Amino acid sequence: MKILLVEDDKGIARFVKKGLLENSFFVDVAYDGPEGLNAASHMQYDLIILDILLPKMDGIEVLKEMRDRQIHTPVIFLTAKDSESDIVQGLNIGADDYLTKPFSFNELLARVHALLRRGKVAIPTSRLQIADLILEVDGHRVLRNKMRIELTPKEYALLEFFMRHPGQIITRTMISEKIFDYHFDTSSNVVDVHVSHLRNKIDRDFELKLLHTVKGVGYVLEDRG
Amino acid sequence: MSSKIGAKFYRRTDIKLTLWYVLTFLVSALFIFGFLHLRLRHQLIKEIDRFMFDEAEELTAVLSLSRNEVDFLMRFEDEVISRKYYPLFFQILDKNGRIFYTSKKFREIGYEVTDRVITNAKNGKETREDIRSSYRRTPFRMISTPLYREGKLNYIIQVATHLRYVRKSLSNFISNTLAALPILLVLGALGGWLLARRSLWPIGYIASKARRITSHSLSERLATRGTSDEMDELIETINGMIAGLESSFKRMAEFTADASHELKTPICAMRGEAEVLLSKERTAKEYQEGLTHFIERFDSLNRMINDLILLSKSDSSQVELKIVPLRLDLLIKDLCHFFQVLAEQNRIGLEMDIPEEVTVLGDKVRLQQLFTNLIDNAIKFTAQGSIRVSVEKNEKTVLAKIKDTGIGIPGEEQGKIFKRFYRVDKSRSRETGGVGLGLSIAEWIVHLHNGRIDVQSQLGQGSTFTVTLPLFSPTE
Repeated sequence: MKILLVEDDKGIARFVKKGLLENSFFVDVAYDGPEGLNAASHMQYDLIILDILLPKMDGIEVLKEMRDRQIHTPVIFLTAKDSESDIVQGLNIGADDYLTKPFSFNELLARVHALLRRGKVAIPTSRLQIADLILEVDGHRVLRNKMRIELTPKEYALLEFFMRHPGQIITRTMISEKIFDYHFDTSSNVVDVHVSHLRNKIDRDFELKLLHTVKGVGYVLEDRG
Repeated sequence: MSSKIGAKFYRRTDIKLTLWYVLTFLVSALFIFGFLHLRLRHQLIKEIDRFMFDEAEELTAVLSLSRNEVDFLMRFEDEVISRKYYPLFFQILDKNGRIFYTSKKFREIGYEVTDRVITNAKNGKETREDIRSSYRRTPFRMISTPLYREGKLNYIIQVATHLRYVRKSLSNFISNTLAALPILLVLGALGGWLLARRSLWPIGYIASKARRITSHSLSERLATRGTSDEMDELIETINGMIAGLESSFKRMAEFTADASHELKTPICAMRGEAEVLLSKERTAKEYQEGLTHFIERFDSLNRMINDLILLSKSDSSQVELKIVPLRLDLLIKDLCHFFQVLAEQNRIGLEMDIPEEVTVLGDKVRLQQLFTNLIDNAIKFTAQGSIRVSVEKNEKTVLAKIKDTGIGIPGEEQGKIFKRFYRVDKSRSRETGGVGLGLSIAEWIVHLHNGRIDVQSQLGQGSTFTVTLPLFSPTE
């Protein structure tokens, strides 16, 4: 999988490139708008990560020009938190997703995965399984080791989200936005408490732990056994 | 440079004012002189008329008494014609208007008897006429009086004299006023200029003083003159403006100082931690823990910076809101469910009393933030007991109350808790992770929604925050 990163800040470009390389992506970096546009026109990428604030030609223009040239590679753009108009504009002219700076790398990775997976055959939805943990979507039933586990509606929604993204780091922001429709950071650890409630029900009484904490970042549901 | 332009401008203003004064003076002087001239002319002619009536009376007496009329008339004629200043000329008509007697020089007047004179005379009335002949410079004045005998018109007596001296008096009057007018105008201009200077002086003062006041000398004020007129009012308005600027500058300076302090502390801690971590060889686990801690600190710094950006944008009202009708009861219920687990973890209750549907106009994310801040605070500052969230509505408003049984806020602090970076107990808040922006943001959000926020609290008993928002009714 090949990713083009257009970002003028060397520090951000460095850690994004390093992180993506470690996650088995090929990464090209362009440091300004024209360079990025040039690379996007001459090479075939699976995904482009585009900063909005770029020297010479800003990200919005690059994106517009790319779409004009019939380059339909998925685009994630990066923007400052306080520019809602940029976000609206970016999405309107054909960006697929966005992240506000400062962003967490895992958040970016999760979105990259989500965009690349898009359009592929979805996991069968009626039954999700990791190790001996089974979630039956149709019957709203959760089984661990063939034993029924009772969950509250929110816990159920949280578990379904984890099970649809197995092995992927799910950040606190993603949980509060996707599960609780809650749109900003809180200093409290309320998300952790929700996750720990879920963990108590699905993991506590079992030898094989499935829901793991990624410290400082979020959680991942996977069978490490 | 700018001072010169200012001075030039204001000199121009006083010149303009002076010119206006002069113009006003000129117009009113011309008006008054014209009026006086008319009055004077009228008076003078009236005097002449009276004088001639006297003479006509005398003639009448002569005509009615004396038998030897013509003889007597000639003597009278000799006397009046030779007068130096007002020689009289007269003519006597009989009852049919035919000339009965004409004095010498009367013909020189070039007068023709008019029908008006005869008609008036037949009606027993006098007639006054101005005679202007084309070949004489001086106009004449003539009166005609009827003479009745035994109820019948007998004679018409016409007496005339020239108006040379009336004209002379009038032209004297005009030349005098024309001589006086420039003096009047010069005096008016001078007075007007002095007045303009006097009333414009405070503007110059205000301008020069205001120019000297910069962001460093905002404590200075303009001195009023104690006259409590418009200028004093202006000075006081400007002083009020400077005071407003001063306090907002002060607030901003405080805010910047507080913000940089709050930012420095965690950065300092992070740097120290990194230094210690690097000072000797450590296990991978230790590095991992250190870096994890770092991420957590970064996250909290990031939250604080977001809050600061929000507040600074709130000052310049740049925040984009998406105001839509939304169900406040559901929003608060969802939040309570979200925070329920946190309350349970702290072994305190979180009860809801939200019996009915409530719709308000608002921005969903901001209202979430508002009630999060309040519920979050309630949980943080309540060690035991419970938190009760209630929503009730009146005719026009919604009251959302968050009541806790926490540590409470001392009375004297209650007014200050909405101030930025204000914390009742700094050591305690540091351990709960707040920097004292939550309530500022809450208050700002409430104001954005045209609402109000109040606090009632007793130390050791708990606090109640009440948010009042206008109710949305779709019929409006």
